[in-house]
Amino acid sequence: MELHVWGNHLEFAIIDPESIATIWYLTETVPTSEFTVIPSSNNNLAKTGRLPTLVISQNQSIDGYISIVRYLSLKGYKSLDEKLNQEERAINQSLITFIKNEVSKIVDYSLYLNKKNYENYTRAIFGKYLAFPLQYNTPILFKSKAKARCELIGLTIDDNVDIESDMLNQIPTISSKIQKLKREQMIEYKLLIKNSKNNMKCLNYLQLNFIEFLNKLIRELGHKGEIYPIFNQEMTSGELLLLSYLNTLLSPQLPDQFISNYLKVSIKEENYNTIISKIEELNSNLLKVIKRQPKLWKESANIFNSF
Amino acid sequence: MSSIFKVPTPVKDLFDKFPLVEYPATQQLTSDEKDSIKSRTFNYINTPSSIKSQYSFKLGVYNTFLYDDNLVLSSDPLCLSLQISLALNNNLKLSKSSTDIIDLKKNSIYILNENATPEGILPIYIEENAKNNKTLVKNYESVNESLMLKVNSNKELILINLVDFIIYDYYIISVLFQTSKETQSLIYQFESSQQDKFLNKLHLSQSLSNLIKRNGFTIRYPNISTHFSFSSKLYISSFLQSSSQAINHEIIQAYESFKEALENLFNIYDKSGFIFFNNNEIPNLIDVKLSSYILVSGKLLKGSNFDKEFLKYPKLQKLSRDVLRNATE
Repeated sequence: MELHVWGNHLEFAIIDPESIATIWYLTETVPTSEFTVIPSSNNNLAKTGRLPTLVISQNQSIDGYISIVRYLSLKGYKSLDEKLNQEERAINQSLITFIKNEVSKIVDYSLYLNKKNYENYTRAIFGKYLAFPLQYNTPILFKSKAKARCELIGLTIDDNVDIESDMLNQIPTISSKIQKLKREQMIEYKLLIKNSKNNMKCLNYLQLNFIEFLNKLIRELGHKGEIYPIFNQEMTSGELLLLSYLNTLLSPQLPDQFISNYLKVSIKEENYNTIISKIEELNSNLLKVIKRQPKLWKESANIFNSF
Repeated sequence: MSSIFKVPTPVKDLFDKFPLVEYPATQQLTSDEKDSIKSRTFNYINTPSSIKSQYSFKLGVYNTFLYDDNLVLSSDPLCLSLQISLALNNNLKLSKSSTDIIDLKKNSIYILNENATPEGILPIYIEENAKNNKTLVKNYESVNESLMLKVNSNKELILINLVDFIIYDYYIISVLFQTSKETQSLIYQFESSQQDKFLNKLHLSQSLSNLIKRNGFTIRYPNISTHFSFSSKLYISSFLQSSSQAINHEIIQAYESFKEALENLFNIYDKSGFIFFNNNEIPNLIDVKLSSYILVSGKLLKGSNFDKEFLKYPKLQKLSRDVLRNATE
């Protein structure tokens, strides 16, 4: 089996939590010798147009974390959910749906709508994974999709054009270079203020719809802890997906650590450390997987393959 | 020197005093229009315990169908779940077709064209305050959020995800791919005359392309949505391309998730042995939501995979009848 994911020969990309979750899942359930991971970053390889995709044969492939987990279980590989009782099984499936619908919007905000992260990390990282000229239009496309998703929960962003048109109403004429420079500085300043306000909105959403929601659920299920673990069992497929999204949100690679800083103070230190150590443990397993470079004309992400 | 363009002072003073009072515009309806509105309105039935207030509401829905030859139910599951929830929360009983006198000021469901709403999506909730004549309009998300806030159990809230997204998604796919145009029209269009039939045919593709924008379906199923979006041309091409890999793959994914969700939900009800979730005496939000799909599929999606899967679980069929019983008796 070959698993195509986002990344390059040096790293797997944190911008796609589902790719990371699928590799983690495979390392936990399938012998390492039975699968190869190809960091092709080529969404066109997936029938649905979105990685990860597990290629089983020339004619058969499975797209997406949930379908891959279901397929592996059907094929008799160890399932992370086999010890769950019926109610927990239902909650685990709901948890996956919840993560894909709700938590994914927080990731979208952090990667694409947060000005600092987008300009200093996300936009640049595509250059590592995609060949010219795809690295330029792909982040813009992803950003517009993220914007549409975030708008559903009231998280919006203003870009330079919006601020500029606002300011032009106030300062209609620009006569000198000094004034132009001053105007650009003001735009930058206003964007920073707006970004901080939006970060607060995102943290508010995180607190109400993620932290408090999961903590109350954990208490209802009769367990202790915060955010993770949710079940009193070994890690489930839902929890694994949750950790992969947290892996992105809490990644030290992101220039703006607003979510990580917030989580550190909003949950107990021991619970935060449990999450971090579990993520580190799962990430250490990534070193064991057999990697293969994508074939240039068939698998890699370039302008010819995109047609 | 006085100008010929200057208004004489007495005349100016007179007109400055008017209008003394501005009355709001009064809508004048012809008797045909009144009859048409009445034929699309179904009053909830008040009970002695019904909440009396200055507010009255109308729930705008796509269309209705008759259940047990008498009960008027919305033909779309999201509309139906709100219709039942509003009845249960306000101690009202669901509308019956045998009700002769229609009072437009009473709480009711009202068949609307989706283009009457700003988003082109139904259901829509319209609340009127009799004291100050103010109207409050809420879309589905907003009403659903209010209902979710009343749910105390997070276990129930997280399980609602299975109904609101997984079952909903496969329901929409079933409507788009596994039902005839006649059935699609029956669920999403109102027909009172032969003329409507012709117009409905022309409008159907637009109705469906609006429908896929509801409840985040477009985000979860981008390939299916692209083929059903905006133009009727694309709508036609969607049938030609429905065998394309991307769409098929999304349909299979949705079907597998739907089967798994249904089995998981059934196991919870089966294991508990209770009528309603969490051993409650009255239906919870999850019971109402789940029942809405069962009632609609049993009547309007007969023979589809969606209905066949539900038929495998007679206990869930009973759940839907018990929910209705609570909202009618």
